[in-house]
Amino acid sequence: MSKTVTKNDPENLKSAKNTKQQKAPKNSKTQKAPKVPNNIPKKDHYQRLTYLYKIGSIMSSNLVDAGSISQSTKQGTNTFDILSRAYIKNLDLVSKKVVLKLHPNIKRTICKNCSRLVVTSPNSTMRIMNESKKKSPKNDVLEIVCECGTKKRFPFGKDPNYIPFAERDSVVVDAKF
Amino acid sequence: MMNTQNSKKQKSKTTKNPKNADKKQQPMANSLKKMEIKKRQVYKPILSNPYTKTSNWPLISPEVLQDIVKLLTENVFRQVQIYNMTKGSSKSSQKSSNDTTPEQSESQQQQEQPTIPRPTEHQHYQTGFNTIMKTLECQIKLIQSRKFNPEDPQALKYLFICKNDMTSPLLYNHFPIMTQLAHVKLIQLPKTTNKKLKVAIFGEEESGTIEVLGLLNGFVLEYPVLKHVIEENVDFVDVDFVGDKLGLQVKFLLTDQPVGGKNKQGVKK
Repeated sequence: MSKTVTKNDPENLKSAKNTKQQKAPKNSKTQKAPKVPNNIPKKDHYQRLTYLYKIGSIMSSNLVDAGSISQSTKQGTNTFDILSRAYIKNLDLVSKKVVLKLHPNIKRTICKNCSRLVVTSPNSTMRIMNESKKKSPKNDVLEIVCECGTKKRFPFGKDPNYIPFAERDSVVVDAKF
Repeated sequence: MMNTQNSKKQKSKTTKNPKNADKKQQPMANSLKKMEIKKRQVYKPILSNPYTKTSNWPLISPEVLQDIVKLLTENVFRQVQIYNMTKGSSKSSQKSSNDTTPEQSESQQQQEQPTIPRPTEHQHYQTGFNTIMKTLECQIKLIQSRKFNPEDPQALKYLFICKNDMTSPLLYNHFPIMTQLAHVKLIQLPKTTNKKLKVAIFGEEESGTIEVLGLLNGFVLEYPVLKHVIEENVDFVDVDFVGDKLGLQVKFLLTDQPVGGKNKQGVKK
């Protein structure tokens, strides 16, 4: 028995609507692919932030010749460390005031508690931890411990194929100068 | 009871009617659904880390890389591999001999002890992320306190990383900065070298991979060919902390933005 297809059949109508929805969603008319901007808005502020980050990292890495500046204060703390923290704190404040977005790969390197750079500072540590009994690679966690004691934990073993939104190639475009 | 059942049936009929379904698909004028539809795609600028550029990794020609991999997998670790294999086999035999009496097992151990002496290279190489990070951190501390001796046999000299075999960029993004601070040469190995390295060091019996390999100064001094190849063709990492160029790294992120501003009360139009 072959089925006869009628125009007024409600099932056929439904299926036709579904196919239409699949082919052309409602937003497709309104959403046009935007052009990649030629200029960087608020470029001066971005430059300021980059400079602050660079000067902060150079201070924390202790690459400055300590001929003119005394390396340690009376309390025994490093002058460069204090300077580095001040610059990074400044960076954080400026980015919030001017409403500039920072990439996760910048934010991951900054301690939220003490504004230290955790990669270049000498007393921070970076280890792969696995606290499970079976030591399965799913439970691998990258643990970055700052000098102040705060920890950043990245469970990279949970989903090895996971890519953060800001690092996906389909979404990120490099700025043209 | 009958009345209620009839009313339910009527309700179900009304929902199945395609005309009513059409009406229901359209969201209300000021509903949340409608607000979701009112969105447009925009590029938002985002400031990236100036030190995580791909160019920070030193460029090495593929021919030189092949030579380095060949040296590492075929020549340099031969004695270490033999030692590790004999050590591993003796351990496995010890496990199997657990059923025997202690006197018998002692005599067996004396017989099965590896006759090969421990090679000097065995102390001068390091594998594994945590051990390498520990040595790098110690070396940076020594350099900053100006107590570092570059001719010390325990000083880290070369760092080989299978970047493409690693699961997450979190595990290798920091190496350019750390190697520059520690005065270590960074070498990025081609894909699937991690398995070859494991076989070269521990033999084919061991499973697993080696993504990070560090050679200390004592190891390098014994193999001048490897030293010559690396010193001639591989440069030190230059992160350029504060150079002539600012190294502004701004990227554009494609995101959705709601259309329409905000009222005085803070409710979106």
